[in-house]
Amino acid sequence: MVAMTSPAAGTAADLDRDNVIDVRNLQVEFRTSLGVVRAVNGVSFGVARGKTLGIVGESGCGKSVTAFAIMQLVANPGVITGGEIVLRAREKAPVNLLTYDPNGDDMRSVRGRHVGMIFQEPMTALNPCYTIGNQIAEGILLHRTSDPAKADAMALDILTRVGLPSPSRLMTTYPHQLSGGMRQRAMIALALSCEPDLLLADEPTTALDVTTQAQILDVMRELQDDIGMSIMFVTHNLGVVAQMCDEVAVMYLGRVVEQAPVEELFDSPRHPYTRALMRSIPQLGAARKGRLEVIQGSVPGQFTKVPGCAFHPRCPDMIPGLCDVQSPRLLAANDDALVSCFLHHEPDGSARVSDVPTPGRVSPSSSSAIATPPAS
Amino acid sequence: MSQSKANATPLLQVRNLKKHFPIKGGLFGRTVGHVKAVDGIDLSVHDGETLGLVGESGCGKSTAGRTMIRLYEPTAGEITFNDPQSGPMRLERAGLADLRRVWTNMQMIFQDPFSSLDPRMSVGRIIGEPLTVHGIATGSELRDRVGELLRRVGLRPEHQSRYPHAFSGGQRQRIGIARALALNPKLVICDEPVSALDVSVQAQVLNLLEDLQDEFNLTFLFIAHDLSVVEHISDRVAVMYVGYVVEVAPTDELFRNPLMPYTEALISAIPPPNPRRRGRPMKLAGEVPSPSNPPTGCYFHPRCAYAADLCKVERPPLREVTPGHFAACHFAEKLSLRGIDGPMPAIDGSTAVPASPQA
Repeated sequence: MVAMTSPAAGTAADLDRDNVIDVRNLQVEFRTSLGVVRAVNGVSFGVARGKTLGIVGESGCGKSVTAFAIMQLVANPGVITGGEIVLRAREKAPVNLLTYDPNGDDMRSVRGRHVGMIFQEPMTALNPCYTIGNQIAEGILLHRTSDPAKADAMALDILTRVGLPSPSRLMTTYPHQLSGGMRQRAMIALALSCEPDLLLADEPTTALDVTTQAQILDVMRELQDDIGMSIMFVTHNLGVVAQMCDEVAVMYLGRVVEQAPVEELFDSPRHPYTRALMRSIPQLGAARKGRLEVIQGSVPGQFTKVPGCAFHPRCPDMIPGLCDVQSPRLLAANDDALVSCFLHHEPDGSARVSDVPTPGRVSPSSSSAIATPPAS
Repeated sequence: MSQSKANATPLLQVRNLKKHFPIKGGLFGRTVGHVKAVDGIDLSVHDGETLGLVGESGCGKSTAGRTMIRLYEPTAGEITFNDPQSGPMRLERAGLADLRRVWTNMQMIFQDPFSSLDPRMSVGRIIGEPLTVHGIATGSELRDRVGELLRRVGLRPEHQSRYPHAFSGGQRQRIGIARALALNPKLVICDEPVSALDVSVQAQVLNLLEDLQDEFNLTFLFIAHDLSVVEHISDRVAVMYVGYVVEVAPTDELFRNPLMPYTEALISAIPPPNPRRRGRPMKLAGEVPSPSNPPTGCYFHPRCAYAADLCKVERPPLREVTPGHFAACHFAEKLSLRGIDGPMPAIDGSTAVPASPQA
């Protein structure tokens, strides 16, 4: 057990609530022969008990690596170089997972039991050599019971609950015999078989058709209510975020740039990156046929080090002499939202009063291309 | 049945197009069955429009696109391309010389920008290859044309000497677009051109395609599974289900007033990017049937909430239900299906959404 350090400024722990997990200042590096890639560069967030936190961002922003780091499954040459991951599970004293040996029994007792994970591509995550029933029972035997007959019964029960047809036949079915949607359900069953406190869902519906996606999201919602678990939902689909999440953390280049309740984030995104991201997606039924707004430039290469705020080279509201020099911290914007941007905070951490673009609207400097109707 | 506007000949018209892939099995690799990937579709693409082609994976939309351009040999059916210079041409039985001529006016953009570019060819050779093959340009003229094409798609002319690995996914897709435009075609078949790209890059490529369409008066057949992308870019949309076109209509009409239950189900399954609209999506039970062993009657009837006895025995033809709106459903007139209702509020809160109390 680790003594709790006082929460650093700018974590969701500041928001004073019951979190299942608190990630603080997490750092993950990939030491390749070409140089060091800082995939996760000081990420802090918390997932409230029984709630869903969405982690959004473009590919390469570090959202999946963050999920793998919580499980201590970052693959070589990746190394967790710093930070804290505090888990507050039921029937377990709070613990910083990074004090556990990644290959040790302590960590093994957490994986699957307290933190479950579902992956993007079920075909590569499930073992092709074992039946579905076998793979689910394995986790149950490890964590919940030592009676194989009981474990099989539990496995059958969870397969029924994820809505798979003829679950008893599926117990003896191999992954390749299932369709993509069924495999993803089987993987959800596998992850939930030990009723974890926290489920890490790494793009669980990205590879699926929209109709199958709707079915999978339904299953996840139902089981969340049943089990009362928290979900960390990694995705880049803002529609899925809007439907599934209570809170959202937006990541850019290995950092959380904004965290807010979902309605607030969609109504009044604070960080320029969040605003740009939301406007770049085509929306069904929107006043159509205009050009989509694009984020200028592209994500810098992984070996490039950007001084100051990582988003400043692409930011329409960049403050010269500040954003390209100093790095903003993730600070409270109000009681339940955090933002890391000098448009909202002075470098000393106090709230910025002037020059803040009206929430939900774009400041004049960035709205040249699109006319925004007034808010009322 | 004709979908053409009364006075205009469509640029590309297909009738009863079929593409069946044999399933080999048994001792001597006998043909034991067929995957009916495309099973009798009628479509027309008009000059200057963007026709979206949507459906779930495995519905045959990519196969349809590839068969129309004769990358696959059609099993049956007619493909007519109305070449602006040489007049109508029947592609399904055209020889290679004729096809070469048609292909100068008909090009394709592929989904995966990583596998559709030869890693051992420089960008200049990739884009210049169509110009060389058709003997249009050589030497410094070729270099100039390639440089101009690169500039048009937002890359730099000096990029010609680089190789595909030096480019990001979005840049590679731009290279693929430049190659498709090299011969100044009339029709470009875009097969999922943005689905492998990140959202912000996707927006850049969609904008580029729309700009190029205006500039070169291009016609697009836009194949995609993302309905919001298709809704954004298309003038008309065709919906496919298990090798069959089940609905065709102008974009707004299709999304607001669908006439085929499958289209309704597809629309209802899209998660609206608005946390205030959390309806449980209509459940579409079951899975897409296998195109090698489709159900009887209407292929959608086992999953359809409105199916009647007639649907189990008789396959409904694609027919014009209201002017310009085609649907393959026995009960298209009687059902009242839900599309998207009204414009959704913009998600950045720039329309009238109550502002949060703070800030």
